[in-house]
Amino acid sequence: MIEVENLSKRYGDKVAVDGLTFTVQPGVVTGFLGPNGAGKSTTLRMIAGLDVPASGQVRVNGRDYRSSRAPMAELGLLLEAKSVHPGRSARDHLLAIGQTAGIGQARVDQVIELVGLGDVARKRVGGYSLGMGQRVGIAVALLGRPRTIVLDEPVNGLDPEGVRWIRALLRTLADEGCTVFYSSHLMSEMAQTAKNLIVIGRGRLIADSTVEQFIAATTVASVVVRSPQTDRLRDLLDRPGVRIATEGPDLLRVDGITPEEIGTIALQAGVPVFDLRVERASLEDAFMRATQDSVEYGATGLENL
Amino acid sequence: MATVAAATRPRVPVAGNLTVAGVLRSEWTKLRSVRSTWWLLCTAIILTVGVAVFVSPGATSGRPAPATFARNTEYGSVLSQLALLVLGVLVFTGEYQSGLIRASLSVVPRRLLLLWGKLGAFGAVALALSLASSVAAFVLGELAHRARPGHPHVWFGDPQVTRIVIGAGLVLAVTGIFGLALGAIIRNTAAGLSTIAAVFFVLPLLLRIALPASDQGFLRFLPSNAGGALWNAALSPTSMTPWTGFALLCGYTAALVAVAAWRLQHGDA
Repeated sequence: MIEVENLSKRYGDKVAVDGLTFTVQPGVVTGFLGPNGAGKSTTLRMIAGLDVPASGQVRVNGRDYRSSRAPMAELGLLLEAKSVHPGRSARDHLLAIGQTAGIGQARVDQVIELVGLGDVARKRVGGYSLGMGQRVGIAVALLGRPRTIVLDEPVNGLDPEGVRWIRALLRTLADEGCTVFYSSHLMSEMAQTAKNLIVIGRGRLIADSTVEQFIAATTVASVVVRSPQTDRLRDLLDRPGVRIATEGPDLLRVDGITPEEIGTIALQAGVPVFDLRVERASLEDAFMRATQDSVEYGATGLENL
Repeated sequence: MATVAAATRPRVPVAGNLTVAGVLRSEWTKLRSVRSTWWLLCTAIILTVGVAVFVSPGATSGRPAPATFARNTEYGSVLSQLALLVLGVLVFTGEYQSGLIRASLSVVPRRLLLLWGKLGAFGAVALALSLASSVAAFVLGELAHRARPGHPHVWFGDPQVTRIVIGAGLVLAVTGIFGLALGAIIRNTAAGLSTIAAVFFVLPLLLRIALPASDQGFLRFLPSNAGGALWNAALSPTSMTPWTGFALLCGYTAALVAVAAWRLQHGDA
């Protein structure tokens, strides 16, 4: 479990994290979302005791991580790819990290096989690709079999097979009772993996809920209707609170009315309906809407391309 | 790629408590597993011993006093202290520049333990190497020059010889630790190495030229000269007494370690 309480951090004049409070529960995968510069990485570094908060506090598994007796059993951390000396092999790197907690070569080799670095583990990390460097970082996070695992952009640089593997890994860890907290920019990926979400923007909390609740609360589900008589159907559905958009010659998108009501109205008027379905917004749509006011480094339009 | 399940099940703990012994072992692994360590250690030994065998004992003409001869065999340590300083600086700056420091501190969140671990592991290596090379320099230098006419046949029992030989090694080791503490404070390899070069090589020269004769006595307080007093053969009015000089070098080093500890403990990693 990770408990963040009223956490703030500033760098010079710039406020990076501004009074954040949230709790990450064990047993489920929790995603951490926010635009670039929202303060995600800063928050993760403060959770691991690497950055010192200006105010507020963080508890990992109920206590201050910096005074933990067996840190590697409490928290596994992936911050950025290649937090590794380029001249050292992955095997020696993992051994050096593990030895602080009495972890020996056997567990190191086990984790190397687990992340799929068996063939290159004795080579210098400087020659690794981005994806291989990322696997070294994930191996470090898993090494101590911690109760809580925090990963900053774990799928960065991984191939599709690696992305699927991460998804399975995170779910398995959560099923075993781990607290799993990770950030990602890949919305579709997060929608498939995470159950809970923490969304921040400009260092403040925007949402703390399940993925489903977040999408439902931020966006409106609309109904798509296909009919050969769209003009008649338009007139029939035109009532206060209902918005209708024409999507194609025989396609309408309707907000503010249930599919049941549309079907009944169409039947009573004798208008044929070939297709009637609810379209939910994606996590990406929800995220864009929720964070549109707090985008720090937004690109402008494409007029000057 | 292995299955995910193999990794995590059964969920028995594998990580024990964070201990000083564990951090020492970890830091030894870090030291031995990069090539630069071995290159720099070999350089230090070759310089110290090479100068003793091939160059310096002949620097004094005639029949030198035992202490002078012993001091001459240790001249190479002035060069090899550069190798130890570089190695010392890299202990921390190598971690800051590669980002490794974050991984290190995330598993050693009681940060001072990391400093003590690095000091212990590097200090042990530096001390062993420095003493071995200073003793080897004297012994091999002495043996290499036995055949020379006028050679004084110096050995450990002779006046001041043991202090000079062991002292040269001690100074070399403490200089390495000086570099480590400086690297921990400065955190950047290029800046750290420049500072080392300035303090140990440029500043002494510059001050020697710039200071008026009456103020030359100030030079003895420089770290390099304070340390050098421990393996000086004859006391000159401008140098400190051997152990006072060494104590001053240790004092400088301890002060740097204290600043490094404060900087590591407070603020962001």
